[in-house]
Amino acid sequence: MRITNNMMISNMIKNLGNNQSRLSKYQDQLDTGKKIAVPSDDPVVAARALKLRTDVAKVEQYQKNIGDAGSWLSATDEAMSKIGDVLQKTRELTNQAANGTNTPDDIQKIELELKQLRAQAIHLSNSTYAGRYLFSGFKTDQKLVNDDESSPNYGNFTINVDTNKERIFYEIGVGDSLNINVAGGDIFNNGGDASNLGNGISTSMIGNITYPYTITAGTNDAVNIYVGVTPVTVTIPFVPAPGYADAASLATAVQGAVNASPSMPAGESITVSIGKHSLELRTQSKIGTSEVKINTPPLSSFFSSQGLNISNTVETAGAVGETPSMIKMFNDVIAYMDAGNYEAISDELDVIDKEMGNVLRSRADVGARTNRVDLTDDRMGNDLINFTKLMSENEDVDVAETIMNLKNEENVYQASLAGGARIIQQTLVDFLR
Amino acid sequence: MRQSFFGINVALSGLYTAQRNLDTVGHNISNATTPGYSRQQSVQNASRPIAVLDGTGMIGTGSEILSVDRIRDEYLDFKYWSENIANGEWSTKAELLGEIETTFGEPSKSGFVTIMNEFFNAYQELAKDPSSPAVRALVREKGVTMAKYFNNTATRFEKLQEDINDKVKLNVDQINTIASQIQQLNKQIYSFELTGNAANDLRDSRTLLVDGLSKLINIQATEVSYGKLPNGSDDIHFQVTVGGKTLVDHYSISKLKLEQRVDKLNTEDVGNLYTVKWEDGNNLVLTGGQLRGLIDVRDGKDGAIGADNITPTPIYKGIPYYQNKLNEFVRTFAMAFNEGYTNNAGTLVDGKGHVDGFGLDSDITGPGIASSGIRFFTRFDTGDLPISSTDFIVGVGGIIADGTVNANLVNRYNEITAKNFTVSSDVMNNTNTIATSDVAGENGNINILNKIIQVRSNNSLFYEGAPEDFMKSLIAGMGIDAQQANRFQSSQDAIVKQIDNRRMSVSGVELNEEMTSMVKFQQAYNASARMITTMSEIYETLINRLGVG
Repeated sequence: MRITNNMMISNMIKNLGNNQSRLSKYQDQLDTGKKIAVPSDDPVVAARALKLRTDVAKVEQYQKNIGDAGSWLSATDEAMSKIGDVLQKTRELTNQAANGTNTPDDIQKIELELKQLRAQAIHLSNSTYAGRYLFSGFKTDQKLVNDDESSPNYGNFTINVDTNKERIFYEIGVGDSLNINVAGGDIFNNGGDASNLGNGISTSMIGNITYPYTITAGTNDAVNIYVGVTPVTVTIPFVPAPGYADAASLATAVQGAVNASPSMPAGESITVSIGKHSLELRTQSKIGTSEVKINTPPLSSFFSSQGLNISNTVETAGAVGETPSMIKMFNDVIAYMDAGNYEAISDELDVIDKEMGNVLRSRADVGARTNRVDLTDDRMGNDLINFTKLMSENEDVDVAETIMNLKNEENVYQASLAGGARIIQQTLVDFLR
Repeated sequence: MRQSFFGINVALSGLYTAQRNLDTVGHNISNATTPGYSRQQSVQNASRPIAVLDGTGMIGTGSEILSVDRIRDEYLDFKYWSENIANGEWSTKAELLGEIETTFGEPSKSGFVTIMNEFFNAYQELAKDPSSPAVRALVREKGVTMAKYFNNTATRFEKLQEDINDKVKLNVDQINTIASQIQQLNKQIYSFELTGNAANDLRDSRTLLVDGLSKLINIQATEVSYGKLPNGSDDIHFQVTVGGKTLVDHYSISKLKLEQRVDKLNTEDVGNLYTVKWEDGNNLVLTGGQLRGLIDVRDGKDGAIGADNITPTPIYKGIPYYQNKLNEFVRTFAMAFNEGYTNNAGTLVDGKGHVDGFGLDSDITGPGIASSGIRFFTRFDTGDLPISSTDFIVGVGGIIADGTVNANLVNRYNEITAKNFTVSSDVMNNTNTIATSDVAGENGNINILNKIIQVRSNNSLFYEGAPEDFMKSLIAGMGIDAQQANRFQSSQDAIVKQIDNRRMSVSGVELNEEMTSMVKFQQAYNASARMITTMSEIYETLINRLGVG
């Protein structure tokens, strides 16, 4: 092929240009630390880079969420631990008050201290974390329990918190949500809801049954239970002496009678269960506050004869919330102390144990969740390292390799410059004299 | 009988021939760097001999220059032109796609992915503290940032489209100018060549013009014979055609013209774009060149039917394609975010969205109430003010029951474009309207907020998947297109360069060669001069010395 000067010049310019663009590519890579500057440099790397950035950003956010979830849970745990302490102290005092050897002065002192403990329990029920009430469910800007001593509703729930529905979830992983709150009723109302305006579940306890006992029923054992204003008459089947063998069979009989009652309003239900020392009637009402009345003399006298204190404590009045079972426990102990009913005070110890058991159950639950937070945190830490590593492998340059390449290109560039400078300068013109 | 001065005439012709040759060498050297110049060669011949009838036969009469020829391989010109057409198209596309890539700004710390991450991270923070005014303000600002990203991208696309339109005009003007220059040259070359000689330098200029034209538009240039001239040589006309129609035909020319479109080709276009047509109103068939590259990127919507439902758009992913994709994104995203509509195998399903939630009840026991029915994203009204949620759906009518999709409402969302996408005035004016709760007054309730956050990972929202998958595949697709354009450009560049090298190999001036010729012709000249001296000495002897004594 015939080679002309212009060809040589144009080829040299083109090749120098190529050298320069490669040099500049490596230079850019070193300057930015990235393999690519625009997607067209390598669309696959670009697409992966976008995905990995999202992954890293998500993990970082999850880590923040995990941190916040952990803080919330530990604040909850701390409040519950203090509640446990309050209950422990209450149990000691109640035990002391129950032994009957106290002077009225002692009783007064104990009573004062119990009132303080009650105030403390109410205060703890309104615990906050970062200005938000821990136990108020979704109503984090409202107090759970009325703490205004001058109010007639002192110690009652101010809001309704649905234990099952009002659960706050934090996203701590992809498709992984963690419930971080404990609804107030779950701790203070013995595993139930906090009620307001009858929208939740009301619980009423019909006294205590002391073991051992014999249960007999007369011929006319009727119980009236009010759901809202609708009376539901339940007739407990007659069983000849010696009667019901135990409390469980009585509970079964009552439940059967409730289910069979034609006067039960639609959608309402009453659950009859037997506790360790008590028969419990739990009404679930959507209509209004439920009232449980055991008002027919033969049965009520039967319960009395069995050492049952019949109390119809459910208030039906308007907006006032229900008293949490834990606060009611305080109220009862204080009332019994006022009345000098030592036996009843002694019986309350069981209630206190039950409340303590309930708080412990909740704490165990929170502990398990905290555990999950810790495990997820650990996993997220690993994920972050992995994703960051992947991201780096995907888009970051290997500095050593790039410097080698740059050096190599530099040599080529210099060689072509030197060569070119020699060749294109000289023609025959230089040698003709 | 021999002429006395015959020898000096022979020497003189040698002198002249050497001189003419040196002139050609000089012409070559002075044009060594002239673009498009083809080296010339004088064709030297022994001049007509004299037949002498004394038995010596023919006697040489010296030399003469028959013609000066242009050394050119026209086949290479044709090849150059046809490859240069593709070169023009792809270099333009590579350049413009580079601009589109920069417009998206990915991968970087300020591109879509980062903005989307920050927006949803702000929402995560809100999930943890829905009643905090600071976090609410953060969510609003991140929402505005996201809307602004789309506004800016769309505006930059519009600007780019306008710039390309200006380039189209420039290109067409250039094509017309070159065409008339070729027409002028045709006249000069034709009339000169009637004498039977080649118009070397003018032909070089014409070829150079066609070189330039071939980069701009898909041309074919040929010399066509139109019969014989009276002197017996071919009547050659030079023609340049574009897509089968002649741009320049010998002395006549038909130019291209620009028409401003009354109706937009694509709904996404800016107004008054140019359509390129022939001056006589015929449609132009564009298959390559810079003009094709410009128009493909300006109008290309991947072959979709244009706004008039008839005209197809160029089968290329140009600006309207990306605008359309961005619009699709903001419409679908806003609808899912606001209304909870998601695409389930082609049919829209109404779920829960921002509009179904309740905002913050700032005075929980006071007279204030939690707002509801607010749409987070709406569009700008005229005057660049965001419109309110109620203005946005004005005329939709009726309460939209869960599980049904209101077609009117869908139409309202089709009014949103990437350019007018914004956070609604309700949210702009009061961050308490950002909905988190599904029950009025429950300020810690985040049931709706959680539904909204799920939009981010809703894989059935787009055909491509979740919102980020959509953008990722859009950006990756663009990267692949740009990469393809870059590769085509560089390979086409290499091909053109290679052909040009071959052309230069044939036609280029080589200085060593010229120097050698120079020395050769100089020596020839010297020798001829020497011959004259010798002759002169002969005459001296003959005239002055003979018979003088």
